[in-house]
Amino acid sequence: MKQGKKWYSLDNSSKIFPATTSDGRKNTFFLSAVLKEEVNKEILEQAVNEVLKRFPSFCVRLKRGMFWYYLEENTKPFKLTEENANFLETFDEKENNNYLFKVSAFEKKITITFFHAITDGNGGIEFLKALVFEYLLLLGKPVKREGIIKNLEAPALNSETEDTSVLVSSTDKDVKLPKDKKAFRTSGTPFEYDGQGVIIGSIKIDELKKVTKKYNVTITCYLTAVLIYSIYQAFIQNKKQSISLKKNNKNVVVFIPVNMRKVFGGETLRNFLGYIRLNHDFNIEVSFEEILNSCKKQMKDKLTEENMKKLVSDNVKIEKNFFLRIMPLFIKDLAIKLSYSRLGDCLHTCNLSNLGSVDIPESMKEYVEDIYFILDVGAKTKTNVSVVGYLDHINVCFARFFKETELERLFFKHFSDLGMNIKIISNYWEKRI
Amino acid sequence: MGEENLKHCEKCKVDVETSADYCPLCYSELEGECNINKFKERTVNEKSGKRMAFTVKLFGFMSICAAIICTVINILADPQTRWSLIVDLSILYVWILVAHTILSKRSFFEKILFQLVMIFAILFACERISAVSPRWMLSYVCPSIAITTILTLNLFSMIGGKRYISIITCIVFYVIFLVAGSIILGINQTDCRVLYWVAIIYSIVSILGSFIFGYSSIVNEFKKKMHI
Repeated sequence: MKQGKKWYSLDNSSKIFPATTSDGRKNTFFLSAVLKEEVNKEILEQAVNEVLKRFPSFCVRLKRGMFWYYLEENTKPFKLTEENANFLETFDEKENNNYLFKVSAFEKKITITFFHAITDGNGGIEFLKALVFEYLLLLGKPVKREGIIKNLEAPALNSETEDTSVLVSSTDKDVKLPKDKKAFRTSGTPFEYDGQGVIIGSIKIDELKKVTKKYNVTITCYLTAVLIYSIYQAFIQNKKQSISLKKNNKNVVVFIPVNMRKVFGGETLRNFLGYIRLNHDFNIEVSFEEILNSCKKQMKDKLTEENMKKLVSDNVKIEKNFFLRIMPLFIKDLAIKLSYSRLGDCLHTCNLSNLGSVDIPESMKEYVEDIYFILDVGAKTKTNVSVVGYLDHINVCFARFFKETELERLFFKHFSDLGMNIKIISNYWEKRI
Repeated sequence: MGEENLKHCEKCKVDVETSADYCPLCYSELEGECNINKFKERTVNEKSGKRMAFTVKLFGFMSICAAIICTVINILADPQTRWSLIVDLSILYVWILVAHTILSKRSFFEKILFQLVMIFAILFACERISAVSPRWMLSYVCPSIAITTILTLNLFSMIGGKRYISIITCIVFYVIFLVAGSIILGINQTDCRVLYWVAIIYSIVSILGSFIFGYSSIVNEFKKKMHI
């Protein structure tokens, strides 16, 4: 029997993304590699088409079934796209042959925009590393894989395309969905033009580790505490008029995705994420140290294997519910959209996603200057923070949907006041041309 | 002062890699020299949505004016015939054609189905309004459209294959025409039974042909579309 095109059902985490994608929420993220030479676009396009053969879970298009969306093999050639200055991306046939990611080059920077349905940050980084490696190889640079880059000649493993959530979920009956309070929402003067403001600050890892060691916390915990305190200073402290304050909502909640591969193992390149929410309710004045201690305690209590397993099991149980499964897709879409608006966006102030340190072969380091990780924002979530480490520093990226930069100023001021050397880059989206 | 090739903000105590003159955090003036920009610059100052909204408003205004003018002329000149309703329905159909079929990203199946429903509804309304032969729509137009649609689907399947339309979508349409045609023949609501028999036999032959020549595709498509 003729096989036809390969296809994959969406993994457990991805099932909400097609339904919740709108103008106000794009569900995309951006990974960039800044090289030391100008990018050759023809070679880059060739490299992408080579790398796609090894990453079948990226070589797909999204299709509608009767009951669920699914991913079908995409046999069309991949085309580079022009870098979009405004970070607002859609994926369609005309522009990039229905692929669910885009690759663009601007001067020395290669950027990949991913639709979250095909992968998460960790899967995306593997793809970026393989792409940059293949690109450098095609340019004739003497780079070696050193066991870090996936071998394009080897076949893709089943473990790279499996939905690991289903495999690790338990069948315990005691399942309760968390009931979180509504969160404070950031707001500001909207831009006069489509797009988002981006500010990236580089902080030396050694200098940061001295501080985190002093308080005996992880980097993520420390950054979250600084972020929560900065949000408080920028939007709540001494501010008289705001919609959230009128409703007396000073509950600042930061949504932190958790890489479940570190908890349960697994090599999947698709989504395999859990999350925790760290919060602080600012009904009384507090100091930064109190917030830091609170974050440390919350992380210790929430970030346990048992909690993560329960989270995965909850999500899988919802997906496997018989009545949900037989519901036609157009009804499911409506239901997911409505419930996400009530139970998703309004429960956190912003995201803080930390990819950790990106490891690349020694032979590649002389050609790659830096790596950026940027989340999208929109009318639903107006501020997001993402972190990625490269070599001796981390890049903390703020994405915002309004002009004001008070939050970023206060955040980086915290570190510059500690004597750290901070380097800033920005897309200056508020600047009138 | 900051690192080599970086500007410096004295107020924020940060280095900034930019060709701009001011600090992105506090808007103070930067010191130093740097010509590097890591992000592509914006080229337009306005939201793109505004242009599209104006075009829609313009065509909407023109459509409403045309509908009102035709209705007024109809009432004044010849109120018995109600021909302006046909004009109004046609304007409505053009809007739906552009919004739902041409500009939308809906699937082929949805577009064809919606077009068929709209065409049948509008022609049915025209039949009622025009007061010509009472069953011309059901007797001649419906089976003709069904035969044309089946022929078009066959051509798409043979020429383009799965590029344009999936085989299951085609079979669904064939079955719809088969069932609908059989019901109308059964309740004797047509003056031209021949056309209906042609449509029914053509549907049956198309379904058989799909199963004979595309069985493996049907199985694959069924697994994908119907997975729960």
